[in-house]
Amino acid sequence: MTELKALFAKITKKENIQTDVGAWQDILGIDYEPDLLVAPETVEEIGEIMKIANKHKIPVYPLGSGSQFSQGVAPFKGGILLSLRNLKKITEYRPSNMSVEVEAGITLEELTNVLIKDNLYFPIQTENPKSTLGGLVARNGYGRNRYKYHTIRKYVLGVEFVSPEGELVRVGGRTVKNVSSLDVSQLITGSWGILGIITKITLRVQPLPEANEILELEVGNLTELSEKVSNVLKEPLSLNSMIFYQKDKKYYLQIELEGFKDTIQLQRKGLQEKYGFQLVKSLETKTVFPNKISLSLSKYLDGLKGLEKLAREQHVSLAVRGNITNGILEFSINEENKALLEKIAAMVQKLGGTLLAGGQVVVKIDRGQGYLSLLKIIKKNVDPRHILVPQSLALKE
Amino acid sequence: MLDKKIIRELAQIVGRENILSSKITLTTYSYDSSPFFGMPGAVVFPTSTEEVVEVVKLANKYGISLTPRGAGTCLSGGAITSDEGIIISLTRFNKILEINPVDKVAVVEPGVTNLQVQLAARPYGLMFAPDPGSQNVATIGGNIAENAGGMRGVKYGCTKEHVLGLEVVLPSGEVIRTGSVNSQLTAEVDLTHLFCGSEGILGIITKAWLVLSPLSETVQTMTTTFASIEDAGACVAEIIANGVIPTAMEIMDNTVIKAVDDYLNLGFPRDAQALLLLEIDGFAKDVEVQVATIINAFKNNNALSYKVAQNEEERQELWIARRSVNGALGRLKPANIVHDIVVPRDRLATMLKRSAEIAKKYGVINGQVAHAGDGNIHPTLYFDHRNPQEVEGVEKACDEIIKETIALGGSISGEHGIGLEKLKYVPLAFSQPSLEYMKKIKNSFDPENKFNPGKLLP
Repeated sequence: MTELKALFAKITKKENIQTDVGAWQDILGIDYEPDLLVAPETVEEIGEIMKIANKHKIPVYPLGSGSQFSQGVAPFKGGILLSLRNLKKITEYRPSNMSVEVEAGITLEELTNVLIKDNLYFPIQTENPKSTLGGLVARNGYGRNRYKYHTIRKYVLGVEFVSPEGELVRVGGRTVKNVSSLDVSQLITGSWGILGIITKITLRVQPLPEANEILELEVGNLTELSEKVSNVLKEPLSLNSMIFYQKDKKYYLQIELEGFKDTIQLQRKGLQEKYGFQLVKSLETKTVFPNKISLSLSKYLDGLKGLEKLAREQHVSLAVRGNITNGILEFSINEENKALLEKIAAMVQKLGGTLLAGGQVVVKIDRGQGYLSLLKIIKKNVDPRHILVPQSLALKE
Repeated sequence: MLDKKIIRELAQIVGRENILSSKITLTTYSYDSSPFFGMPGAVVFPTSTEEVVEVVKLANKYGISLTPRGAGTCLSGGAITSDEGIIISLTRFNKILEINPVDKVAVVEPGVTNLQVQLAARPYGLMFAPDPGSQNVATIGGNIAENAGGMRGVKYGCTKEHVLGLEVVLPSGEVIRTGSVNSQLTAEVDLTHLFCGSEGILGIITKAWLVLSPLSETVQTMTTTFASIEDAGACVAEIIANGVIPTAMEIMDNTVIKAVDDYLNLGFPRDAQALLLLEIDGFAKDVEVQVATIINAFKNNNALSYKVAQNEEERQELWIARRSVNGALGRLKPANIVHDIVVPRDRLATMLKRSAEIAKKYGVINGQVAHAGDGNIHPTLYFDHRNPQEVEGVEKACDEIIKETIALGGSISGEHGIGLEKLKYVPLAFSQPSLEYMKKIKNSFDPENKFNPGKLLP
């Protein structure tokens, strides 16, 4: 361990290297057992670290805020965590070009606070404001407003990253139109850290929306909910998101509108008159359920109805909520019921969706062996010694 | 031309009516919309993924290269073969498989034209946002492979932002399915957007899941002119700074204005240095607010005069000038080279001026149109290709324009692609380690370098 520390002490200051388990257990829990955590201060240091890691075949795991680490990495022992927490600068800010280049360790909150001064907005707002931009790009993050703003890859104009072999690569640019090379920035986006360590990202930003309103409607039962959802989706709205939740056995539908003030007001009045929606202060976001299903919007209501039916048949009490426009359905059942879970899995499979239960991937899209083989070839070509996130869940069978 | 045996085997895969192999017919596929030529060994027209797979396997067996081709409107030489390889034309593989108005997704085969998707989506109050000028002939497969843009690009983005998933035949002959309509919940690497803009060097697209966008309630179109490029640039900047995102924002310079006026006699102010054409779409109230901001920006930036279309007929009139640019300029000289540079928006006016200066320095006619909203400029150099001095002048002007673009922090291609045309400039824009990394990616997909070899990567 001291040997390892000495190796990296040649590259970065001693205080940037931590060997006590507290340094990472607070962030990642107890499932991960790296040898140490190093938090380099410059891009050059990251390059040097990767070169050393390659030479001595040391596994490296890049770390942002750690909030989604367990989604991308299986538990491991040995290797180093490479924290981006010291790379937080805004390296190029061009409000008149609607672009900003940031270092990977900057958080969503920090970026938002800078942009708002110029009436600008970065529309990918995930639940955790302390998520780093590097992490968000690595996992192709999205927020509750995916219906309108899609995922972060839409806003990535260019990326600078350190390759697994320690070389500095710059791809993309700072312009919104760019077809001057293989779009590797779109490959790195959503690659979960296995193809390179993101150091800088050039992001596209947008004007701050003038207004944002939340409307709510109490709905009696599932049938009524379905009907209202289908109808509202046909209305021309500046729709950010539509969610539903339960409280005291009743369903509530919430709509989030965002855009120009006059238009939003007009739409709100229309919804109030036609359906009885009421203006409320905020979206219901407190409840967290352990199980999640992802479906397309057109299959969502079938999925919801199917879920309720299966629970009823098994006489199991079910609690549900979901972000309808994101196609996400969250649920919890009050008892361990393997048969029910299997039936739910079969239903989700049939609807072409994904199912996460208790942190495990139960149903996912089957892309066949050809796809995984190709990913592994790409991985082998850019990371021949297999040191960057060797325990990645993105390469799992 | 290929060996008769290979032609027979190809004919067995796609059918005798779906293969071209005679010299005359092959000649018609020896060019695209770029200045480059290359005779193919054969041209095949598969109509299913299975047929594409068999063609790929056959080509691999004989070590022949493959070039996918749509309508051949490529402006950079991507749709021709440089080594007498097989051209796989996707134009007969052209069904629209599904329009899902709830998910707002269209599932299409690669030979469907961009316009066909627009028309199929319209009855649902939807459209396919990328609208390249060639939309009535260009195919979706080509749009994706070149990440085609269009005049709506400033607001809606380019093709890659409207692709959710693909079915692709890899150089190995394997078929993969990338992307998804659903929100992602698991750690997965999505290769969809790497294929966008990959110019056929990684795989052949056989199916695409496209994003459809709502058709807007209202459209408002207006034009204005300026006495200087700087005023036009400042006006554009002010509009954007005030939170307006126009659907289209086109600038035409003085050379273009004069040429179009000569051609169409529309009564343009012949000494105006820039003409700005704007279009806003959206909800009625949104458009109202934004138009007011725009008119204000006109007034604040010395606009000479402006016109707002009062109905559809007037709207079409305002667009005619912009759409006639190529025809108008083509009357000046027999040959032209169209550049496709992009600079950050705040450098737009600067680049327009520099580009004009560079052309003047070499005595070359330069007509410029720009998609002002995203900094994409098309300086078009007109010359007589039979005159060696003019040709030399043009070549020097091209090099300088590209160098200037890079110096201003821009990109050497915004929507036409690299193909063969801009290969020599790629090392100016990317470092060696970056190019090496890209080659490793290409190698992962196509270790034998058989898919559209010699394109995109130097």
